[in-house]
Amino acid sequence: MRNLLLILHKYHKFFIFLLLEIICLSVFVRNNNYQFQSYLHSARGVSGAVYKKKKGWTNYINLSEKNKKLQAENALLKSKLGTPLANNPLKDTSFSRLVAADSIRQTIHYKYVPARVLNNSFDKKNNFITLNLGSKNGIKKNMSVVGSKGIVGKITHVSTNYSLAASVLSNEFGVSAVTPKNTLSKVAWESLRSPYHAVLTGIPESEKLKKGDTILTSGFSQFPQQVMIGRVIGKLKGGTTGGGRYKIRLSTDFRKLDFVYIIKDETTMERTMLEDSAKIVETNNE
Amino acid sequence: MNKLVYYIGQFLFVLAFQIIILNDMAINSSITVLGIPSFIPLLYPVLILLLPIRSNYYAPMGYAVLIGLVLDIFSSTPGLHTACLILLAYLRPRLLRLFFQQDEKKLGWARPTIYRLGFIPFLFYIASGIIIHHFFYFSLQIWSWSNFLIILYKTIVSGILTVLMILIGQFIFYSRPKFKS
Repeated sequence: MRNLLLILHKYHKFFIFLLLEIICLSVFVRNNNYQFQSYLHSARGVSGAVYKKKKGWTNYINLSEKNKKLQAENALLKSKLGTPLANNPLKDTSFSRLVAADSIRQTIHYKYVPARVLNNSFDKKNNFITLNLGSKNGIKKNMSVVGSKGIVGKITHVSTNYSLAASVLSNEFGVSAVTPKNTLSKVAWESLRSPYHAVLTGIPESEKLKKGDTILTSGFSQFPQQVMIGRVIGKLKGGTTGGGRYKIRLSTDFRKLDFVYIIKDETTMERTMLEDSAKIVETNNE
Repeated sequence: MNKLVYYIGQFLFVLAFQIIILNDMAINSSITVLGIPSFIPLLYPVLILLLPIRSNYYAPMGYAVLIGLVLDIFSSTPGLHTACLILLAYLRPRLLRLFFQQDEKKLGWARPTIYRLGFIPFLFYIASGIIIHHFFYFSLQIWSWSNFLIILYKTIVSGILTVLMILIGQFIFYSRPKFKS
């Protein structure tokens, strides 16, 4: 016992270091997926406020380009709607849209809420986007986020004024996709190299995809149907067991993300929550 | 008192620079070319490296935990920055002993600056600390040895950028002493 104490005293610096390092690494490893449970995230009040200030300062730099994008998107939306909005668009910027789904559930009621991106990353293993809306604006966990050009991610953490969304550029984040010939497949971000590309898996050998084929969401993951994911670039080697693998270029430019829409749809959120809880149970049982 | 103000100012300045400007560098510019992975220059280890030479063991440790917590909150990576900074704070006295064994007593409580230590020893000290920190950081962040080349690449490129920034900072914020002691 005395010797143990002597050793502890002699190497106490090393043991303090070891203790702190083990605490940090266990926190890190436990939260190493995009659904992490820790309280250290940038949707918290202080950091959210700092990012909001920063956005205010740097807002003017790309103003003309952003205006052009918004204009294009407005034009596209108007052409899709065909009819004037019911509410005064100056007062209420959100709008509802009826989408025919299937014969069982005749309509899905989507509500698009416009949001601003306050902070963004794409060089990590799991990448997050801080948004300027929070539980005060009715944002909840597991709502999906889309941009003007395609899918972006889903909300993982919510505070009063801000929320954090895991972007598609996250490990283990899969999106159910559909090819032009209606084959179901899955899109995931597997390469750490580039924020532009993702991998499409599960294409049977009988189907040959051409370069430039559009990949849309199937509606089986949390995103609504027929949202653009990207275009096929070429076939990847390997992966014969799970079907062919294709490299696709994501239509959303994650470098220049600024205006996004959060989709409010209670039933989809409920479903995603259920599926996630099943996943957690599965990993705990292993 | 004067020293305390100096350290608080340095802390706020470096962290603000890291969070507001450097973390956006990869986003607002196109550093990624030819499929080479994007990365962020990490300046904040300089806060640990530039503490006084003979400061005791516990203060840098606590300082490392504080800086790590702030950065982890801002970049949503629980534990990542803190783990790297604690390793750096633990290895710092050993690095100093390695490069300035004779001068350690003479330098005493002085801050390590480029004029006090000389260009080459200072460069070696900073570069070795930065490389250790960056290598640990990127291997934790990427978390797979099959991507070892990417880890190595990011460590080297980001490390060179950080060392350059520290040297430039030395030339900007410290003036050459009038006569050598």
